[in-house]
Amino acid sequence: MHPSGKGFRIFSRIAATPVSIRIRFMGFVFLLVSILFLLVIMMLYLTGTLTVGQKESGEYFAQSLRHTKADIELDFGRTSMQAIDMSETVSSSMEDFLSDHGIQPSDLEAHPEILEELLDDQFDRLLFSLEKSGTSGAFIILDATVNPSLENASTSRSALYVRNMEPNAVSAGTPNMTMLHGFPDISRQQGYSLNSIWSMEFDLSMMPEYEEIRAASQGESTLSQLYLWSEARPLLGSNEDIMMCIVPLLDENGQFFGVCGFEVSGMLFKLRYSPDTTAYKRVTSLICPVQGDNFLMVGKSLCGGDDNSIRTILSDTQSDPDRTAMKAGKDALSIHIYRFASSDQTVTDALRNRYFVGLHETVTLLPSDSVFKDQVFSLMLLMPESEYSTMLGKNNIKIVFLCALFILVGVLLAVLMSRKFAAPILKDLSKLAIEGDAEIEGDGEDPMKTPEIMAILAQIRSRHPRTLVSDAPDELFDDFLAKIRRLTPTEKQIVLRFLEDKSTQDVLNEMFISASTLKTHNSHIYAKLDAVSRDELQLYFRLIEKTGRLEDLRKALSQS
Amino acid sequence: MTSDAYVKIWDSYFETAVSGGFAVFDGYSSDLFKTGDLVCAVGSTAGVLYYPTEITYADNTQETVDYAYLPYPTYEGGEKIALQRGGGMCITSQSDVNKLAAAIFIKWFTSPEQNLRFTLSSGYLPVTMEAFSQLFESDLSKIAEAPVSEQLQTILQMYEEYEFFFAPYSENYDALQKDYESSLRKEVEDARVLITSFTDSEEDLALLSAEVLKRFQEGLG
Repeated sequence: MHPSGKGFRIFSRIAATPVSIRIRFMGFVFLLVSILFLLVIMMLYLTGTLTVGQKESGEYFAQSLRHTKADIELDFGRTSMQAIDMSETVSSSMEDFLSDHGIQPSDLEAHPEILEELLDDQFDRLLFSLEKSGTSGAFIILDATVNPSLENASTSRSALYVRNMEPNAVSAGTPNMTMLHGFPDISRQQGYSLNSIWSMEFDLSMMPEYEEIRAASQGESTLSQLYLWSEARPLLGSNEDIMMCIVPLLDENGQFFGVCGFEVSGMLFKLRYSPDTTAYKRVTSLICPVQGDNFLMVGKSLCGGDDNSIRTILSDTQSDPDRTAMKAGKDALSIHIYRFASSDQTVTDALRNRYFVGLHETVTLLPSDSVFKDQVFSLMLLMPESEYSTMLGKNNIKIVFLCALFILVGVLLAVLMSRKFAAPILKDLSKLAIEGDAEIEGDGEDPMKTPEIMAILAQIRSRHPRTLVSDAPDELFDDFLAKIRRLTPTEKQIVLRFLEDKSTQDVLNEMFISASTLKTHNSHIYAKLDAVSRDELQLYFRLIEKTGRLEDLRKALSQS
Repeated sequence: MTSDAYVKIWDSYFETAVSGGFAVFDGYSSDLFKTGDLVCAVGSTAGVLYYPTEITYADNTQETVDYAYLPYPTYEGGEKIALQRGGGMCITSQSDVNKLAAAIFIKWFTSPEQNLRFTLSSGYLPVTMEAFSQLFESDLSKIAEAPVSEQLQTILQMYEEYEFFFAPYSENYDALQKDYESSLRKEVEDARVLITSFTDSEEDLALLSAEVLKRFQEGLG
C-alpha cells in the first residue's frame, strides 16, 4: 500500500527540497525532542500530574460542601425543633388566655379587641425564644386582623414579629431587637423600637405557604409533620432575603388559629455558612429550592460568601430572580458546570454565557414523613468560571514554564548537535570540492573524517584520474582574469591584499579607508567577480594557486 | 447650667414637656411619626429617609403624610446656630492588609465625588467643604428621593443663614450626654406623674419647674 494524501505529498515535497545537512539534522533533533516532550506530557496526563489544580478544587468543593451541609442540617434542624416547641407553648398559653376570656382560639377573628392583649402576653416568650434560637427573627401570626372592615383584611394578619438586627455572636449580649410587625404600644412598653419597615400587621403575600399549612392542619398530622421551611424571599419594603421556618398554631382540638416560627436572614446565613475563602476568594454557598430535575432556583436562595457574583449578574442582565435557575451541566472531573436556565426558556444570551463551577447536594430540612416532604432544598457551592480558570492557570504556570524550558533546551540541543554533527561533513565536502587538497586518510595534516565522503572521493579519483584540481582548465583562470580587469584600481588594491591574506584591519590601515567604504568596495568586488564572500574569493585564489598561475594574478592586480 | 441662656431654654422646655408638648421618648422621633404621635421633630439630616410616608393608626388604618423641612427654630431675636455632628468611622485592629483596605475605602468614600453621591442619596451631610460647595452646583430637583432633595434645599438655606456649632472634643462626652439626657427625661417623666396625679394648676407647674431646675442644677452641676 502506497502512502498517499495531501499531507504525504507536502512531506515529500519538503523532503525533496534542497536543504543543508545542518538544517536537516537540526530539524531531525528538534522533531525527536518534540516527540519526547509530547510523550512526557502524555505520561503526566495519564498519571494525573497535570490535573492537580482540578483535583484540589474538586476535593475542596466536596469537603466544604459536606461541612456546610452538616452545619445547616444541624442548625436548621435545631431551629425547627425550637419552632415546634414554641408553637406548643404559645398555643397552650394563648388557649389558656383566651379561655379566661371565654373565647375559643378558632373564634379569634371575631374578637379583634383581644388581639393586642393576647400578643402582648406572648412578647416575653417570643423574645426568649428568639434569643435562644440565635435566628434573625421570630414571629407569631394569628388568623385574625385588628380591623376586619379594611379592604385588605383577608390578607392582613395580626402579628408579633421581632427581628434581631445583628444576629451574630459578637453582639449576642446586647441584641439589637426591633419590632417588624405588631402593636406599637407593645414595642414601646417593652422599650424596643419599631423596625424602619414596620407595619402593624403581617401581609400574607409574604407567606404563600400559610394557606397550605392551614389546609394540611385539617388532618391528623403532628406538628413535626406540619412545619416547613419557606424558600427565600425579600422582606416587604426591603431587599433583604429571608427564609422562614413556619409551624402552625393548633388548639387542643387541633384547630388552626395561626402560625409561628423563626426567620433566617440573608445576613445570618452569610455570617454562619460562608465557605472558607482562603484559597478561593469568590466562592459562594447557596441554599435554594429545587424544582424538577436539578433545577436550582438561585433567585429564591440565601447566599453565603460572595453573592455579588450571582446577584450582580442577575441584576446586570435584568433577569427575573424568581424564574431564574441553574442547571448542573457536564462534569469537569469531580465538579459540575452550572449554567443559568429559566422556567420559561427566556434566558438571555448575556446570562447564557455566564456560568459557574461547583457542587450541590440535597439538604434535609424536613422529616421523611413530613406533609411537605416534596419540598426539596439543595446546598450549592459555586465559583465563577472565570476565577476557576484563573486559578487553574496559576496552578499550571509552573508546568507551562517547565514546558517552555524544555522546548528551549530542545532547540539549543538541536543547534549544538547539528553543528557538531554537520561540521566535519561540511569540511570534508569542502575538501571534496577542491579534490586534490583532500587527504583521504593517512598521516596528512587534515585528513577526512567522513568515511562515506572518503569513499566518494576515492571513486571520483579512480574514475577521473585527470580531473585533479592541479589540472584545472585554464578557462577558469582566464575567466577570473577577465573579471579582474573589470575592477577599479582601488578594488584591485583591496583584492591584492585579500590575496596576500591580510586581515580586514590591515586593509583598512594600509589603504586609509573606513570600514563602511571597504564594505562598499567589497560588495562591488563580489559582484564583479561573481563571488558571495571573501571565503569564496579565497577558494578561487587557492584553485589558481594549484594551477601555478598565482603570480599572473598578482600581476594583473598590480596593474592600474 | 445656671446661665440665663440655659434657664431660658429650661423654661421653654420643661413645662411644655410635662404638659405633653414634647415627646419624652428614648428612641428615634421617626418611630413616633409611624403612629402619628408626633407632628414635628428636630432631628438629624441622616434620619430623613426613616420618616414614614404613611402613618398607621391604632385601628390599622393608614394615612399618607407630607413633610415640610424647615431650618432650626430660634428664639425671637436669637442667634441662628445649628448643631453640627457627624458619624465616625474607625478601623479596628486587624491585619495590615485589612487596615490598608479600610484606609483606602475611607479615602475613597470621603472623596468629594463619592461623598456627594452619598449625600444626594442618603441625606447625610458632606464631610468636606469641597463636597459641600459642590452641593450648591447640584441640581437638587433631580434627586430620586424627594425628602432628601427638599431637606438639602433647607440645608443650603441654613448654610447661608446659620452658624454651625460642634461640641468641643471630650473623652467622656458621650457618657455626659447620655447621663444628662436620661436625667432630664426622668425629671420630666416624674413631673408628669406628679402633675397629672395631684394638680393641673399652671402655678404649681411653674413652681415644680423651678424646683426641678434647682435640683437638676445641683445634681448635675
